[in-house]
Formats: sequence, structure tokens, C-alpha cells
Amino acid sequence: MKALHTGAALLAAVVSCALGVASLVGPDRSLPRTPAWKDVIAPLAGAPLPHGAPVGLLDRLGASRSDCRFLLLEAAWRRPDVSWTAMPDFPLDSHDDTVVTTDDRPTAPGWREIWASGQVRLFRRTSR
Amino acid sequence: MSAWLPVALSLLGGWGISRWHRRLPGAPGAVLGAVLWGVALMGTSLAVLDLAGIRWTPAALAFPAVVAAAAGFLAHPTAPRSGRREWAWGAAAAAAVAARAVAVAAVPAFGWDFRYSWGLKAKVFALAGGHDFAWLVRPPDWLAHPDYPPLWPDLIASGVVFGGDPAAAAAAWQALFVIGIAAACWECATPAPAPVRALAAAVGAWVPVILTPSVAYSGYAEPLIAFGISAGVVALLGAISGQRGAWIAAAAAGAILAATKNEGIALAAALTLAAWRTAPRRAALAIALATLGSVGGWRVAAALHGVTGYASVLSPAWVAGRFLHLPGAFRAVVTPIHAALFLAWAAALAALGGRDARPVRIIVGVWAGALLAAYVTSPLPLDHVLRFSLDRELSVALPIAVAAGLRSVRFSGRAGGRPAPGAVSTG
Repeated sequence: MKALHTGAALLAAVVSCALGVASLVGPDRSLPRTPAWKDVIAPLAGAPLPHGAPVGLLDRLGASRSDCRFLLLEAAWRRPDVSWTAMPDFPLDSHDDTVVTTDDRPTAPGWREIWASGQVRLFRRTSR
Repeated sequence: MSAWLPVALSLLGGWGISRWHRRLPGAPGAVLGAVLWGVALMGTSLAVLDLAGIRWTPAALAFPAVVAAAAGFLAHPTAPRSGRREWAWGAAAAAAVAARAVAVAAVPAFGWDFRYSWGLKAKVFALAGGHDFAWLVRPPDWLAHPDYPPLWPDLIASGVVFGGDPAAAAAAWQALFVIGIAAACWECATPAPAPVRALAAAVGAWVPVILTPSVAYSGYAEPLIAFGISAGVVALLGAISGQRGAWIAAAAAGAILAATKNEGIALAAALTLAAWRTAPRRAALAIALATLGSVGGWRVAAALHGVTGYASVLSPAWVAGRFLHLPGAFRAVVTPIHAALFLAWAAALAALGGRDARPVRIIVGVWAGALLAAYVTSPLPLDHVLRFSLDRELSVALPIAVAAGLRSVRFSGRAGGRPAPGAVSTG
């Protein structure tokens, strides 16, 4: 019985250590390490956004729901000083006065583009 | 380099507290004690400053650590001396641990849950100089898990407060946890001969899966939980005989676990239950109070500010359906890594015989039950949850379970290791 316990303990230790070493080259499970959304949103770091104010990020035209979600999260990572919300389109009925787009959609009436870099454009409301 | 400053300060302060702690019987050794009290000190400092409305600044975070370190110089712990042969095996273990710690420290965290949950919260908290409940009430996405206890993002935020990058700060803390897990495993196997203890330390340092440099693991909270349960098990094994230094350490480990993540709360509950069944009542009570204080303090603060998370689904029909779906979902996601983890667990459990290992068996049993309950009540798709968590959950308590199994290993024809059950060593 004692030998069985010893053998089991040593087997557990060897398998565990081997798994730990194997972890150095572990699988990424198909998740991209540098997906497109990181590059798309990168210029946002320099955008003149109002600190603490709510800012809407408009869904990117043609992007999947999942990619839009990650764009929003990447925006939060780049600019944690801003209160981000997801917006399907120019928010005509919300209180937000600032929105960001990452595509080339035309400017909506009542909004004015005030800054752009790469695919990122910043809009301010001009009238309600 | 600035990301390392709070880690170094924590170690310094932890060393000071550990020097006083080691005047009590059953206290952890120097290395485990310094890491345990260092994490506890930094976590407590961040929480107390936030509660007091004092902004997190480098000076405010450094002050408690410097005071604790200065106090440590006045203490005179009584540490047992190691023999020459033990030092040789200690050096071998240190080399294995250093290799993993350097590998972990060299890769700044980049996993998605790090970037959009743990690290994002750390950035927000550092920017606000404390817990930003206004942000937690209205996060950009549920992935931020606003209701989770905040110790891991708090520790990362400490690196940001000192001017470091959150990714580098996470890597620095995780390198420290590698050392802490390895020291706990070394101490856990203390009754065994030195070569076996060195093997246990290597098992701890090379904990599988959770430190993989991958977008699915990098910078996650599991290494902190693995450290918490490893330190907790070692301390509990010493607390069984009522040693005051051991149950104080177990209480600290319970508080760390409960402040980290929902899985940590489950492990802290398992630690408490194991103490209740195997240790003197005052030890169990101390662990229970530390756990409740840690998790209760956060839950009350979060509730008062209106912070919510997504709720489990408790309807019998849902739970029954998930149970029925579980085997199929498991078959769909299982990989050779899972198979190897189950093999390691089967071997570890087979080695956990005897009265000495009863607390570990209780913890593993409660932990397994809590995991099953979480899977069958989660509102998220079962395949998704299993694919992105099962291997991590199987890994957090594996090193300390393996180390507990190694405790009873003796080589024939040779004297065993130290007789003291799992509490005292030079670490």
C-alpha cells in the first residue's frame, strides 16, 4: 500500500511538472493574438476626448457583433478615462454629445466631424 | 521597472511581518511568509486607503510596507537550521523556481480577459486612485465582471500607480506567485526527504496551464488563487495541531482567496470547512471570520453602490438540462491537456491516503462540488464555459494536492525528513 501511495505521488508530480513545461508552448485555442480591431482603434489614444464624459462608439459597418463588442472593449482599454457605450448608429435620441466611428459612413445631420486619425473619427453634436 | 516597485515593497513589508509572525509556533517559513504577508499587506493597504477616501499614490502605498519592514528588524524569529545536504536540494529547487519565475516575468500579460477585464479594471482604478464604483456600475461590457472581488486588479493597479504598465505589473506579481506556490509546496512536503521536497517545489513553480503565455491565460487571476490555496493548505496542516502561527497564516490565505474571484471564494469556503472538520474550533473560526470579512466587505460596498453581475440560474429545469448536457459538452471540448490533468489528479488523489491528508481531501471534494454547481447554474453556453475554464480550474489546486501526496514519500533504508507536520521550514 505504501509503495502504491509513493508511486502515485511521484506519477502525479511528474505529470504535473511535464504539463507545466508543456505550458510554455500551450495552445492559443484559435484566438488571435493581434486581431484587426486592435489596429483599427489604436489612433484613439490621441483623440481629444472629454475626460469622464460619456462617449458612444458606433458599431463598425460590416463588422460582426463580436468584433463590435471587442472594438468597444479595446476603446475602453485605450481610453479608460472615458465612459464608453455601444451605439448602433448616430444617437439622435441619447444624451451623448460625442461619438466615435471606425468606418467611412457619412456624417449624420446635426453632427460635425472634429477629429480623425486612421479609420477613427470623432464627432460632436451641433444641434438636437 | 516601476511595475516591480510595489512587488518589491510588498516583499519587504511581508518579510517584516513574517519576522514577527515566525516567533509563533507553526508560522510559515521565510519565503512563504514574506510572499503571503506581502500580498496581504499590499491588498489591505489598497482596500483601507480606498475605504478611508485616501487616493492611491506611491507614497501612500509605500508607507505601510516601509513601516512593516522597519518593524521586522526588531524581531528575532527562531528559524531551524538546514543541513548541508538540504541546502543542496534547496538550491536545486531554487533553480527550477527561478527558471519559471523569470519566464513568467519576461512576458507582459496579454490575454483577452486580462486586457478587457482584470487589466482594464486596474487601469480604471489607478486612474481614479481607488475603486471607481461609478465605472463598475456602468462598465462597457459584462466581460469586465464588475461584481468580482477586486484584489487582482488592485494589485495590478499598484504597479500602474507607481508609473508602470499594467501588463508588466501583472507579470511581476505572477512571478512572485510562482515563488509563493513553490515555497508552499516545499513546506507542504516537509516531512519527506529533501529531494522529494525539491520535487514538490518544482511542481509548484511549474504549475500547469494557468501561466501559459497564451491569449487564453496570460494575466488571469488563477495564479493568485493557486497561491492562496497553496498557502492555505500548508497553514491548515499546521493548524490541525492548534499551532497559533499556522492558523493565523491560514486566515490570511482565506482572506486573499475570498478577495480574488468567485472561484477564490469557493476555495476559501472549502478551506474553512476543512478547518471546521479537522482543526481546533478557534482556528476554524479565525479562517471563517477572515474569509467572511474579506468577501463581505467587498459585497457590501458593491451592493451599496449598485454594482451587479450576471446571476446564476437556479431553476430545477435549467440545472437538470445542464446536467444532461454535461457529458456531451465535455466530450466536445476535451483535449489531451484535460486528459493529462485528470491523470495527474487521479494519481494525486490516490496518494492522498491517511488521516494526515484529510483536510486536503475535504478541500478537493468541496472545490469539485463548487465547480460542478457553477457549471450547471451558469447562464452561459456550457461548451463555451468548459472550453475556456475547465483546464484552468483543474490546475489551480493541483500543485498543492500533489505536494500533499508527496508528504508521505520515504526512501527505503534512509531516514525521513523532518518530523514536523507541514508547518515549519526555512522555506
